[in-house]
Amino acid sequence: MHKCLKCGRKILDIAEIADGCGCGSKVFVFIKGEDAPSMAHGSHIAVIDFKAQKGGKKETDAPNQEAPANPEIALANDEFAGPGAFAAKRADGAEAASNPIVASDISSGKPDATPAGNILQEEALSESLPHDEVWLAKGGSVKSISTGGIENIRQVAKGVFELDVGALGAGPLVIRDENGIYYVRLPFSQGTQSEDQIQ
Amino acid sequence: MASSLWQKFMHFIRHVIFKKKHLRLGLYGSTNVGKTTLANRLGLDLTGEGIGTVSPIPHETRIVQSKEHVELKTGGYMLSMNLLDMPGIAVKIDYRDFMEYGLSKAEAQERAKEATRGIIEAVKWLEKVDAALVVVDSTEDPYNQVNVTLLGNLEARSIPLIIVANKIDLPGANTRRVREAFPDYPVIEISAMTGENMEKLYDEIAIRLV
Repeated sequence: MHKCLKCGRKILDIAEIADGCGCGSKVFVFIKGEDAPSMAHGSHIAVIDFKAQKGGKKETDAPNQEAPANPEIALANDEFAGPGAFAAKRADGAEAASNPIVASDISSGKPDATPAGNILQEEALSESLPHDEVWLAKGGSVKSISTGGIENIRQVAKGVFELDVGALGAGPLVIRDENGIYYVRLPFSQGTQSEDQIQ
Repeated sequence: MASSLWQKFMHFIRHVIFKKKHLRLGLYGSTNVGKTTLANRLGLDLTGEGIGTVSPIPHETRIVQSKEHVELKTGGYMLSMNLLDMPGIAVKIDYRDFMEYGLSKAEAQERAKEATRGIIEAVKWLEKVDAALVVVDSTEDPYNQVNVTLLGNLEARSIPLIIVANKIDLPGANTRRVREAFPDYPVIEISAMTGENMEKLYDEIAIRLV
């Protein structure tokens, strides 16, 4: 992370350094050790919005920097959700089963067919996401898993997905939503896809 | 020695003049358009036995069903085929649709899973077939996402194809609508159920797909 020497503003985006600070200064100092995630535009992130177990309190504040590095996350099981690698328990020892994790709905309606990526990698929010979302803290015990089924992407709960990253590139994209309905994306089924493939 | 030379000569004549070829012929299309009925008709006409079972419940064919060494002799052509009856292609498989036909929830869910697996298999077979019959239901609008996608995929792979407008025996069949929807492709209208116009399909297969 860089800090403007004149006004002290912390710069997270490397691209901003090339343009200079808003105060007019073009002198920055690198601050070692404060490795907050870059807010580079266009990056994508897997963000999970926690609902507290009791009272449905929604935690919307970004976690404190001193928060435990490995907060453990509970995930409700539904009849379709396999073991998955997301399961863990909350750091406060609360029961996992009754505390579903609900991710923010980036797009309403059908499950998001865009792979969320490996959520071990902390990349910046895109500008379209609300900035009061809770970050998935570093070192979260989640990883890319094999869904074990025919689907490449499985919607476990609203906004929570399991990805078979290894199978995503092979064959048509198959998504199974939380109700057990399958959606198949056929090759060349969308014009933009054809253009992308040609490029 | 003379007889073996003669046999080789006759084999050469048969191969060159009668143009015996072998190809993998895939039957593609949406669900319930009559692919398996057509495959059974082809099997019965050419080998004496059918391929698969037919049902009004969608996605009855959930695995690729193959009949090998099906020989078609028509005009001056002799064609040996591996007939491949593909599962019906769909972009959404909802187990609840099967429950409307009386299946239990567990059976419906299992069927949906198998149907989806079958679609994946059918898509993968696009890389392997030598020719295709794209079967459409002539009583319904043929211009749908599945048919357009299938034709696009086949054309992209330079796979020769024939559009088969099926179910012409039913009231409401409109083959002109099929020809107008796909003017760049050969369209043969048949009834796989009754066998109507099958000879024309055989001729077209021999001419276009060899």
